[in-house]
Amino acid sequence: MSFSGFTFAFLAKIFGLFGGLIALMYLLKMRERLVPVSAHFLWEKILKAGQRSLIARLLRRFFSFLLQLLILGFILFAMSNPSEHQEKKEPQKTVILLDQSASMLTNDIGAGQNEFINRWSKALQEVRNIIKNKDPEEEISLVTFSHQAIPRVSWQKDPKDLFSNLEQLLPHHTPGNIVSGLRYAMQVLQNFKKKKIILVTDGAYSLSNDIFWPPVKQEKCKPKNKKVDLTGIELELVQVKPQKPVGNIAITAFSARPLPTDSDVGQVLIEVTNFSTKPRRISIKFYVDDNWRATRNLTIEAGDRVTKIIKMPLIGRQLQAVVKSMDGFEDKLELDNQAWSILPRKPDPRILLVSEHNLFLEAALLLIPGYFEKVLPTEYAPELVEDCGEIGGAPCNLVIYNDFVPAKIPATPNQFYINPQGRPFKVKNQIEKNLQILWTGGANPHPIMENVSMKDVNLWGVSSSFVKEKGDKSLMQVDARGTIFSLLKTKKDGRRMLGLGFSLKDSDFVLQVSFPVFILNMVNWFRGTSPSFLATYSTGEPNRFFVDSDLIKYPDGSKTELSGKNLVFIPKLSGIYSFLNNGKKVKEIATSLLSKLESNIHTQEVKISCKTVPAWTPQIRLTKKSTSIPWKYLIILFLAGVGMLIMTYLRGAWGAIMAFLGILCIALACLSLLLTIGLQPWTALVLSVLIILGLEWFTYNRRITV
Amino acid sequence: MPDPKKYVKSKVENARKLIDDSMNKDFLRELERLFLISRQIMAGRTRAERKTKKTGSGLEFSEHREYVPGDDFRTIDWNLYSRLDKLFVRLYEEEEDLPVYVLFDVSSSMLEGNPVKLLHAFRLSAALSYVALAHLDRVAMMPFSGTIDNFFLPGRGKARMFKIFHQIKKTELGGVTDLEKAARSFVYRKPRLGKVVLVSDFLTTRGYREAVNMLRYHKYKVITIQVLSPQEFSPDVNGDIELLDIETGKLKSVTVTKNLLRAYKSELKKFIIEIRSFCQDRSIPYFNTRSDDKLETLMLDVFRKGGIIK
Repeated sequence: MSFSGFTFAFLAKIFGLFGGLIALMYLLKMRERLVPVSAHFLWEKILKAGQRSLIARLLRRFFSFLLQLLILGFILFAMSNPSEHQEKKEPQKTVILLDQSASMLTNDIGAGQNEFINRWSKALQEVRNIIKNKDPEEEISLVTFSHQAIPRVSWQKDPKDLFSNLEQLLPHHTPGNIVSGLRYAMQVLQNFKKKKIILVTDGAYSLSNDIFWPPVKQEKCKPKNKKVDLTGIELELVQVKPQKPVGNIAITAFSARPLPTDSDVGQVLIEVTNFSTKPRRISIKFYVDDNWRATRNLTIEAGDRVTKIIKMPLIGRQLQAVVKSMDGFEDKLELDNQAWSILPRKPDPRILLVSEHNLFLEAALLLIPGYFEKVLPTEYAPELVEDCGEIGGAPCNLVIYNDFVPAKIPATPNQFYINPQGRPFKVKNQIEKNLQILWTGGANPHPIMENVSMKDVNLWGVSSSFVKEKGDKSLMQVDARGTIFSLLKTKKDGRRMLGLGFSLKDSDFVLQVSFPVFILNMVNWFRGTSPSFLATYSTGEPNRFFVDSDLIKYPDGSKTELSGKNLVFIPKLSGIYSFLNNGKKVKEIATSLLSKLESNIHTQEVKISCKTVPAWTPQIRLTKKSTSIPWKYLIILFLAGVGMLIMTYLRGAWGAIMAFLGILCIALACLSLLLTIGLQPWTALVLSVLIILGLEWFTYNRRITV
Repeated sequence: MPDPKKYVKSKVENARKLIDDSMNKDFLRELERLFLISRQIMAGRTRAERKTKKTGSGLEFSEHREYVPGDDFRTIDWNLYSRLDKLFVRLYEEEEDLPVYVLFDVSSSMLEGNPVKLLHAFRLSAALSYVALAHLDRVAMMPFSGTIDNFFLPGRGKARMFKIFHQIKKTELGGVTDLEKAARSFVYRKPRLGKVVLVSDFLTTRGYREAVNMLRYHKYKVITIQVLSPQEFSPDVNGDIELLDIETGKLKSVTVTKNLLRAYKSELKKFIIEIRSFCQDRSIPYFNTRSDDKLETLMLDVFRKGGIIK
């Protein structure tokens, strides 16, 4: 509210002057005028019937004095010319923090007889209700949170814009992260004074103990790490929850991998959790490329989880598991009853081995399914690489050179050199000593070195140390008196090359158990499969991978263009994502919820720092712009005032009190009504003064005599 | 708030000054003029119209007149009744003149009003006394509030007025009105039977009834004159005031409104009617006057009704 009339200093002086005069007159009035009369007895006869008590007279005068001060105050307030819409004060800033996590898809909010809507629909209704009841000057920002906070609408006064943005939102298939949401909301609000967060959620997640919301009385309620500090914030809650708790059965872990020795057969790991309060009989069905493959039936105790590793044929691209109840239990959250997996691509290896006779090496290669051909170095010709044996015209996709380097490095993409002599790897130095391998990648080895132990390998021939160029990576090192040699992988001109710096003949590596594993890992790596292959990704978790794609297609069919090849990807939906390049599918990934916390859809009381978050309630506002006049309240106030004025006719002090309160109520009711219908404040004040004067004049005499 | 005692004292001084100032040649001239007027009025009346009662033992027969209620049955002339079939009473000439006693109230309540009621009462009493003296009656003018402290024997002749003035000057003003006590002290002295003119505002709870009844019981012919001030008829007050009873000094807080004033006027009217009815029921002449009334007007009224002078 702003004041464009006289200054407050001036009005204060006026109030002091006239208020003092009124007070003086009041004090003088207390000294009653002495009127001598010949005798009292005539007066006494009439006074016995009608005159009020002394307290009533004093109160009447005092209330009259108060009313005079009120009238003076109203007049001076009117002189300051108050106006509501010229004010420059900061509007209320409110962040509506809407839970967009997967549990909001739970279909358990009663909407009629045996009809249910999901929590998300109810939450949207609540948000619309909040927006409808907001102050016209209040600015609202809409932020959603699931695995992370996402700003949806920046500060907005107009409800229409907020509504239109709200319609476009859908819940994510990801776990909820309230800390992220609150932290973001606090960042948004940090520069404002009047700030509020309205949390709209189902409360089906684990609240972090790291949220600090003062005042915190108990020591145990104080967080050790203040990840979010809600100091100075007004926090309110709209909780969307069912009338009675519901259970849920969910796939909480899922993975698939082919057997290394038989790519047509795979192992599927699945974990199912029963979040209901009763044991459940369920069936798990597996589909590969939408074709049924296997079914498993099992019983899970209440609150228990069952993990199964199932061996089954996995010839195809996509694997889907679907859990269904067999005992009539109605699962209210369908999302976590399904999980997807992408089966690794397994191109048949076509290997060309250029080597002298080496049974150990050949035997290891023979274990690997696919085509394998061996030629002696003397028989080697570059054309053999392009026409890999009996396949007929197909080039070899892996060439292994053992103690041999061709004159011309072939164009084939995958090449493995055992004991190369200067080409294509530059030799840093050579040592002819007995050595032992000391390092093979540490705790996080390269896929080639997975399950390969070389600590007992002895070398007695000449060992080469390669020059490590940009992009090269060491996979193995041997340290002896400061000399190093390496197994190095490198990539040159689009070709992947692997070099082993010693001859198999000059070591006992081939005698080790890990040798065939090393060969198997090497072949699998070259053909694009590895034990660390991720069959399915969890929604809401960030992943980083390389993909040469210009378009991504989401499980719901929507598409987004991509730029760049290093992708940090956080899946929000469960299902199959496809990456395309020039319209050709280059990569697919499968995503599933797989969250024990999020699948536990039981709602709980939202407590932060051991305090229950107060529920949001709509506010009643009387503003000029308000189109609805609160008639009910005004009429009650007015009638109360009239009632009290009627009680003026009571004898004694009550009459005086009732008169004062009655006048006050009627004046306030009239002032509120005049302001509500849009009158200028000064006009409303002056009219109120007239009403007070009129009522005072009308009732003054009636208050003292019958 | 002024001290009530000081206020009464100042009022007494003011009234004293007014009365003293009024006793001058101009006042005497006015009294003489009133006497002349009274003579004119008396001359115009027939005997029959004067229904004065004159009874007494050993008196010389004078005339007959028609019987009026209240006459002594013993004076009825039964012989005349047998002849004319009408009741007549025999009238006798008094052997002695009847004295006139003018009792006027000088209590504190008479000090109020503008003009002061006491001044008006004094002038009225003086005028009546003078006219009576001029008609060769014996007159005594006695001020009172409670008891009559200064009892004066009635005297004759106009010159008596100067003595009366002299006595009045010595009179102490103020005090609480007590008509009954005053009447009692009057009859206690056993003055000769005559007329008693009672001049007061009658604003007292100590009954005027008892006073009048006592005088009548002792065969005095009573005439009442009530003097009230204009302010008593229409009080010029409003709002929160404190009423000071000038006689008792008691205070009373009152919030005066129109309704209250209306009630007061009604009460006063009722009070006046009550006194008038009381007097009429006993054939006692009653006069009501305001302190701002002209003396001449009142005197003419009194003379016309008769009873005070022959």
